[in-house]
Amino acid sequence: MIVKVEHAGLVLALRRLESLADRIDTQAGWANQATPIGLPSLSVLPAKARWMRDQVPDLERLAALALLLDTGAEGSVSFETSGSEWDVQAMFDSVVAQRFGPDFQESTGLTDDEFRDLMLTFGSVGQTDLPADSGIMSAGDLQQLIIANPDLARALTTLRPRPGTGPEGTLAGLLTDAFVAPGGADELHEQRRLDARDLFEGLGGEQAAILAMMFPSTVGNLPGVPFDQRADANTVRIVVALEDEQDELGDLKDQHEHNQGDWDFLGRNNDDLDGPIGESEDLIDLYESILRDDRQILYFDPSGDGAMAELHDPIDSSTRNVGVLVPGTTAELSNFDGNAKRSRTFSDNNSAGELSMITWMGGDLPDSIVADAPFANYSVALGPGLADFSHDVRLEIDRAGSEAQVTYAGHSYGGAVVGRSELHGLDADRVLHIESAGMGHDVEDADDLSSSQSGVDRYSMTAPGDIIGETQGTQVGDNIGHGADPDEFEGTTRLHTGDKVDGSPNTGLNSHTTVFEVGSDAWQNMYGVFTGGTVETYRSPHYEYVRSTYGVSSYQDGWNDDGERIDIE
Amino acid sequence: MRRPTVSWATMILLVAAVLGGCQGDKENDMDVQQRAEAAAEKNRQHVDDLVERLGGVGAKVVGDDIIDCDPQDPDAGLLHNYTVRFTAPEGAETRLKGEVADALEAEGWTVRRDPDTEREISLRFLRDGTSLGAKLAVHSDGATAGGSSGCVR
Repeated sequence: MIVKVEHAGLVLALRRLESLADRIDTQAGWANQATPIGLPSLSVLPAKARWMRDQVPDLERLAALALLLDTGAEGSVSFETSGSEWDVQAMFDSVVAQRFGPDFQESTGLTDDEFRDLMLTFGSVGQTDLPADSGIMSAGDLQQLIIANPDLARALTTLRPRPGTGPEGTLAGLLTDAFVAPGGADELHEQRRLDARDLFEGLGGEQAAILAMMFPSTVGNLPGVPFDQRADANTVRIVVALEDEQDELGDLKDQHEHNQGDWDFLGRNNDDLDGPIGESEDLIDLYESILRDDRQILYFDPSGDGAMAELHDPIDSSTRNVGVLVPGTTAELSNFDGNAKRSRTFSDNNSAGELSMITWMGGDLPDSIVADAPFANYSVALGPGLADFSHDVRLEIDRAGSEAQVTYAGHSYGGAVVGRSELHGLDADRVLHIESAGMGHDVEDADDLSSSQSGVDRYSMTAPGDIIGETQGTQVGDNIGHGADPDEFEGTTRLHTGDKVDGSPNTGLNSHTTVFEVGSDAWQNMYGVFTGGTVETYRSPHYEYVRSTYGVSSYQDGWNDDGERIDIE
Repeated sequence: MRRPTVSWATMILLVAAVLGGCQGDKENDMDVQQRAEAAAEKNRQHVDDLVERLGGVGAKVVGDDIIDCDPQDPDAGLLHNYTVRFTAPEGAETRLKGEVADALEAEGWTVRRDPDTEREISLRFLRDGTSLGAKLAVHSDGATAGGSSGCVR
């Protein structure tokens, strides 16, 4: 049997049907009140109204079906059903199964009504001139439904766009393998970045958000997708990660409980799981905060130590500067929040709201200072990803109608990551090395960088006594060390690290971290780079020498007056 | 040769010492949390007071976080960052650089006058390991005030 369905006509029909049923009920009620005896002709009317209402769900299913099948946004669509029975539910189930897989509806855990509304909403993507009262959820309502239903979120993460027409087909086309000429892969990648941007921009905010939430695993980290939609998609993935982590925490606590009474000698294993439980709780806090506070996650991967990038303060036409902060050794998903809040101090304190910050932890960083951090493989792996992300940042700035300047700042090992990303064409206006491990493995001098990096303004800061200063500039073999010393790299302006907030010089081992004390001189200098403001250049430490019976010792009591103030812009 | 033996009493004392040590760590963690919360309360008061001195209106808290002093080291202590965005009234710049800075200096704060930029006026105030600061936008009435408790261990 060939069935032709027209969404607008179905919506009109079902609204009229509802209205007619209401009128029958009302007028039958009036007639019953007006007559002293029960008239047989009136008694059948409520049943007729009821029958009409009973048809509404089928009409709604047909309306959803009309949208789901009409991927070309033609307004009507014909399809063939098996058999000759007019069974709307069966037709609906069949189309849903073909489109999303046979177990999809069951796996979402939604009621029939919720699922029908979901299908209507998904079907609306790419459609034009939809009736206002067609029952399609807003993107905000869809997000709330997903957050409240982890099973739905999980089911969505399994969906992949299918080749074909319409936005879903276009999205699928961005993922297909293609034969390219030698060297053409980069060109194709950049073209697809622009195609992804055009796809989502062309849909408009609501439909773009719905498409992102429909295929979260595809869209969440996809180059070119506008940041709003990446965040929409990653919200769905966070819902799943939260539920997984809650399960993991439950298992850990059960095992921890078991350890307390397992007759292990002297209770040696009693505290074994304290660390993993703490990390799991931190992850849950992070995920819950992301969902509660509508945080904008631009990149997410929960596997291993995890990966995440977060935008703090949206990029819009008034944005004059964007800062991207890359953390270093021991950074992982469970402590991402601390690094994110560190980044946020810069944008939070910007008086005109013209600075957006991004915390970028795009993959695995060294776990240990001694055992891992000397090796370059982490930065070699992360550098291309950061460079690729930098093109998305620029695209977002352009899309917003802004001319913002972008600073990439790497702290500690993060400096080596930023350095390596420059070898892959990091799209930066400024680069800032903060207590940095180095300019990046194999970056020994400016000639090692391509011409694309020639316009980058470079800044660095290393506090006196930070042990990392002893390792900067060291490189041995293929995988040890991180290239040149950032403080001495050609064209780099070395900045003053100054005093901590207690007024004492920011010096010694702790200075590696205390440079981020809000209100300290080092923090203010970083803020100056991020905002294109004024910075103070390097001042050498002043030492006081003390003679005692054990010899001469020294301590830093201040700074020599050999720095200067410079305006970045 | 006789093997060295450990009496049950010694064993019990050892276990008690180990458990006692762990208990001490947990109590210390709670102390640090409580001290950080007390420092946070003071920090909020300082910032809110600064906004009031500047005659700020429409104050909105944009950051109020107790965080690890070192995100990668949970044992490094805790600190509190607090930031408020507000609308600065006319004359706020003069007041910040003049009477407000003078008053805070008289109360023991060290004043750090950052160079004016094309976009922003910035002053920082330091006292007892804590910081306080205000930034006023030059081309709009946007302003922020922020403070940090310093690291509480």
